[in-house]
Order: sequence, then C-alpha cells, then structure tokens
Amino acid sequence: MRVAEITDAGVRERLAAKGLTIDCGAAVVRIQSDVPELAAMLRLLYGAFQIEPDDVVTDASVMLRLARGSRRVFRPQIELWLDGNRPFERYPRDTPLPLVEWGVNFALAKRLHCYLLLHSGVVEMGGRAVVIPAMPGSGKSTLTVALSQRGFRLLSDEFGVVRLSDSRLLPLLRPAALKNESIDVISRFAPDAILGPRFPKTRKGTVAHLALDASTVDERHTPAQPAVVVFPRYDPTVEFELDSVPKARAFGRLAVNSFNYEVLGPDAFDALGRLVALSDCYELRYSDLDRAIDAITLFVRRADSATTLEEPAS
Amino acid sequence: MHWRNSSAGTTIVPVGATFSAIPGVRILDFDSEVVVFNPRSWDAHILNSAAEMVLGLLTHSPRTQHDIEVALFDALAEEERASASAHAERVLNDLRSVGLIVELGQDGLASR
Repeated sequence: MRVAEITDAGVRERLAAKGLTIDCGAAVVRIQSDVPELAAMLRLLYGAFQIEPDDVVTDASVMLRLARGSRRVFRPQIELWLDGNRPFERYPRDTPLPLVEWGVNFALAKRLHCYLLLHSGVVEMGGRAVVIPAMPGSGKSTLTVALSQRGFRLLSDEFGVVRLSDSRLLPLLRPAALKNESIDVISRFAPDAILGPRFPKTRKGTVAHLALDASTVDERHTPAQPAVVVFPRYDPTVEFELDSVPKARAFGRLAVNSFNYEVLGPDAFDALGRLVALSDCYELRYSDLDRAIDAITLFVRRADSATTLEEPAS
Repeated sequence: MHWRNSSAGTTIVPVGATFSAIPGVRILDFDSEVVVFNPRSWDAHILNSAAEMVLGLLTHSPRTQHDIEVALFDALAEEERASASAHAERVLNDLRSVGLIVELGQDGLASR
C-alpha cells in the first residue's frame, strides 16, 4: 500500500504508534512523530512510497517529538531523536518537515557504511548514471531535479550511493530538497511538479521539497552504471561553460566530498576509482538550465554509444 | 644498498640510501596522473609523472637513490637532465614525507 492510499489521519496514527516505515531503495527509514501537522506533509511528499511492515529492519529511525515543559506554550519546540538518542538541542516547532528530512540524512550519512556515500545528486538515463557532486552554492539540487523533470530518472538529490562491489549507483529516494531561489526556478521550469510547503527561516534559508512520482519510486531497487560526473556551478554571469576535468582531479574532489570515504578506506578507494574510470568528468558553469540539460543528455548518449553496460557484480 | 665500481676497478663502494614502497600501496592510473592509496594513513595522493615513475619502481623492488637518479635521468628531457640528482632527492623526500616509501637499513628493514 502506498502512503497516499491512506488518509492523513491514518498517517498520523502510524506516526504516533510504530511509525511510518519507508523503503527508499538503498535504505529503509522509519519516521515516528506526535507532531500532528507532519502527517499531511509526509503524505503529500511520500505519497508514492510503499508502506513497509512494522517489523522490517531499518537503516535509520527518526523520531520528532513535541517538547514538554512550560516553553511549549510560549515558544513551542520539537525534539529530534535519532535511533533512540537526542543528539541535538530542541528546535522551533515551525519546521517539522525539514527537520525530519535533515535528521534522516544525518542518520544515513552516519550509518550507511556498507556503501560509499558521495554528497551528490544522481540521475540516470538508459542505465547510465550522471553523478552531480555538491559544492556550496553549486546548484546541485536544482540541476538534479531539473534533469528528473526532463526524462532522467532520479536516484537521489543528496546521496550518491556507490555499491562497493561494482561501483554502481543505487537509488536512495527521498523528497528532493530545494532551497531559496531554486524553488521558484523549478516551479517555473516544471509547473506540474508537486512541491510541499515552503519553510522560511531554516538554517539553509527557505526550503521546499519535491514529491516523487510512482514510476521513480517503483524503480528504487534498479541501479545504474556510472557514466558521467558533472561538477556544476550555478553562475548568473555565465550562460553556459563546460570544461573537461582530469580524472585524478575528479577523484580527489569526489573523495573530499564524500560522507564516509575516510571510514571505508581501501574499499572506498577502489569503488571510487572504478566509478571515475568508467565516467567522463566535466565542470559545468551555467545559468541556462535548458542548455545544461541538453549537454548532459548528450554526454550520456555519447557514453551510451561508446561503451556497453557492464554486467553488475552478483 | 647500491654498489658501484670504483675507479680502482674491483673495489665497490656504497652509494646513497635504499628505498622501498610500503606494502599495500594501490595505484590508479588515470592518463596523465595517478592516484595512490596510502594503506597506513588511508590518504589518497595525486602524483605527477616523476613521482609516479619512482613509486612504480619502488613497488616492484627496493632501489637506491642512485637507481632512481638514473631512471629519472633517462626519463627527463635533455635540458633537465643536469638536475636529475636534485630532482630524485626531491621526489624521494616528498614520497617519504607522505609515508608512501621508506628508507631501508643495511639489514633490509625499514629504518625511517
């Protein structure tokens, strides 16, 4: 059963009891909460996801709880619990969804060490993955989401999940987080895209999330072979500029940008080395989203004609 | 330890220190540059062609500084060959400073 097939009240009940358990592809996540308004937000954004049984083993468990005490009347707060611990101070109550999403990301980045986790968006076309690593202000999510609205399948807007055995990219599907100007950019670029509520005043400014469609969610266990790495930088002064990046440099930038490279050591080195060897690497400065998408589409098609897909490791 | 013939003909004299790559070094060859995994620090290093050549030699077997100088001399452009010795020393120091190679003592064990 998909999340959208139950009512807001049903989601609220689940959140308050054993939780809403979601299979995101590379990880299974459980969300619990007694914050009533969270149910409708999750139902909108996770509507296409299947609800997993309560006894499924999870990779991350996040609980958002209304804070107790006198401050709840004057300045309501919420608490974020990760796997039974509360590692952070309380937060204002008005940003429950961004907090849940951030909490899940934090938990996965700390825990999902059976994979190499790159800080990147990933999309796929024809079995070929495009890895879009994040640098501050890079416009990673904007480009990743825009590609997902133009024929690419979204694997993740936050985690490049690299399987250690063969360097294939695995989906880790979550509502894509758009920030500040990129919310309006995507609203104009893809008017049919379903966006959740806007949350101003988060630590990253205004945040809104993109709901994923059922066909994307249903492909959550279909990996893709690395083919293209694009280091993007949104630059309003440049319409479109493209440079090739030497692979050794690309390797270094990806390693630095990984969540757990240093945890995995030699396994990460081998997996990332294979990924880079299989990929053409570029640096893209752009303000024209359509041209950027055209170029990336071309790279993927070129990779498609140049190489055959390798058999995945068993 | 490297030995070479002296001018006296049969006498041999030691020349320079002997170096070896540490075990477990992994090398990824990406066209013009290589990336090397240091199994002790888990750091990755990007090497230029000279350092790549030296490390490649030292992963096969221990070599003396003189061996390295000779190898670099052959690889360098003619106008650079005069500085092969200084070049070798610099590359060896760089590789040693990041822990990818060690200097061997007379007993063949790593001395530093």
